Amino acid sequence: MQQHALEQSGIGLRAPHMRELLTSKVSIGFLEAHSENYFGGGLARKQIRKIAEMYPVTLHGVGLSLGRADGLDQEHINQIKSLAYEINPIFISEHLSWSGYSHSHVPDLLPIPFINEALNVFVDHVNEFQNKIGRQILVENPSNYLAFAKLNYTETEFLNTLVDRTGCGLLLDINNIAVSSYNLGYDPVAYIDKIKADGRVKQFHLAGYQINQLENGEKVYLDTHGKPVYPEVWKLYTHALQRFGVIPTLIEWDTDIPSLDILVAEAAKADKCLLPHKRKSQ
Amino acid sequence: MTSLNDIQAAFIHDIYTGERTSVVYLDKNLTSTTRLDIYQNNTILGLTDILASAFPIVKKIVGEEFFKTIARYYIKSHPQPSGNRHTFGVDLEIFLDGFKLAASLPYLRDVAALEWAYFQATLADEASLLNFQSLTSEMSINPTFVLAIHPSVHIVLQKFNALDIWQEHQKKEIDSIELKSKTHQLIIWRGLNDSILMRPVSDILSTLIAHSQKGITFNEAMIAASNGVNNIKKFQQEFAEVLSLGVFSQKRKETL
Repeated sequence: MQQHALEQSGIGLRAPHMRELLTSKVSIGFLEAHSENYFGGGLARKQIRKIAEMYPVTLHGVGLSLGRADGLDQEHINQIKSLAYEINPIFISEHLSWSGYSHSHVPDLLPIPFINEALNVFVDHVNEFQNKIGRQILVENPSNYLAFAKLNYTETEFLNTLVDRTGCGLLLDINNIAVSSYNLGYDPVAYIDKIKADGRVKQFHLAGYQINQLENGEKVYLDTHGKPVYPEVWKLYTHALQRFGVIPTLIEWDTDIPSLDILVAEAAKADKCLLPHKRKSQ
Repeated sequence: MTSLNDIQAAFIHDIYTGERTSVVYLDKNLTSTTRLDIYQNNTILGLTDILASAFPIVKKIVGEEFFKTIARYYIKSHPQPSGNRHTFGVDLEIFLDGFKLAASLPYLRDVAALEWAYFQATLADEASLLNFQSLTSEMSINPTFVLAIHPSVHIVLQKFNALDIWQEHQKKEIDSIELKSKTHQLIIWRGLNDSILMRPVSDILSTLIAHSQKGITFNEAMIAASNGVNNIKKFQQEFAEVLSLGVFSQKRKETL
């Protein structure tokens, strides 16, 4: 299963494609399921079990809130553990973000202030999560729209130190690097070059963004996952492949979801980029 | 020194209230305070989508724009309680009961209650169903037998004929429906072949189910439920029907 997933790029598992994917085997490397969509028992859970029998699957969480200051939600961890036990995913990933504090949550990935206290909280939570589910997790760089003042680390320093202290892996979202670097004014190539190339990067994400103008006239890139991958992101992806080698790659498309064949074609484009690097590694 | 707790408390407060108390923590050379709006908008859009997926008929009844209004008010007074998206919307029924802008749609609360139970029934754990033979055998050998209720079973109180309204709104072309005021209870559960079933339920059966869910033995639950009931034959028929349709289970599936 794992070897197969490395050979071909994957796509996000979305409800409109579920029937088609279950009816006949589609030529795709792997499917990434949002963990929270399959919490509980019931119909969705049955479907993901069937999907996992037919395709390699990764689990991608959007609600655990690893960066929250007030402790992890144990019920949430138990749900992921139970789901992982049933479908045996290739990877389990979460985000370098937080989404809940006290009794309030948001369905979004909120930015981490890169201060010492946040790093210690994140390290503790990644260790706790990995210990409870009994396996390594991957942490993904999110899209950021603002920056905090008085920081101790850059994002890449924060990520590298997190991996050094916890043994987690990284899911590098190339689109998010493009989005955050535009919004916060840094060099995306330099960002990729600052992530250590020692096997810690285990997966790539690619997606499309949207350019919006705010009320004050500022232009921002929004991580909407609703368009094809931009040429600029393909270029960054090629650079990342040169630096990190052949890494399982996933196309994310969550809004204005196209037909399955369009998504599969987008994944095939990633396969084309991977090809020369596969030859090199053989 | 800046504390992570302070930053997160201020940030989440701002997202739900529209205030901008977290501005003091931002790097103003790199970003504007207007960018906080992005997180606020994402939250409102994301939570509105979650509500729409759990309450499709409420949305169909009131239309897209008014549904967004309902969602905005609900979100402000009921922040998402956890990272589990399936828990958001649990109080919409109660919220609609007192929502003045929807006062002309008194049945909306009933439709919301029905849809939430429907949604939860789709998510419930699986369980092996109890059949007539197992039931009679269990009752004959075990005097302290507790009737296990399928995890998907929900009983909801209704003041109007919301099930008729819900069923009519499944159609593309909706006919006019006569609104009837009648207090009754519905039982909603996931039956055989995973279809969601809904039907009115008698007081005696709903009491039996409620007592059984509390762990009261079948014999005691039956005595409490049938107190003052004359037509026991009608109940026996109803019990046999729901038994055959998967309302009762053998045992709860053990979770990991």
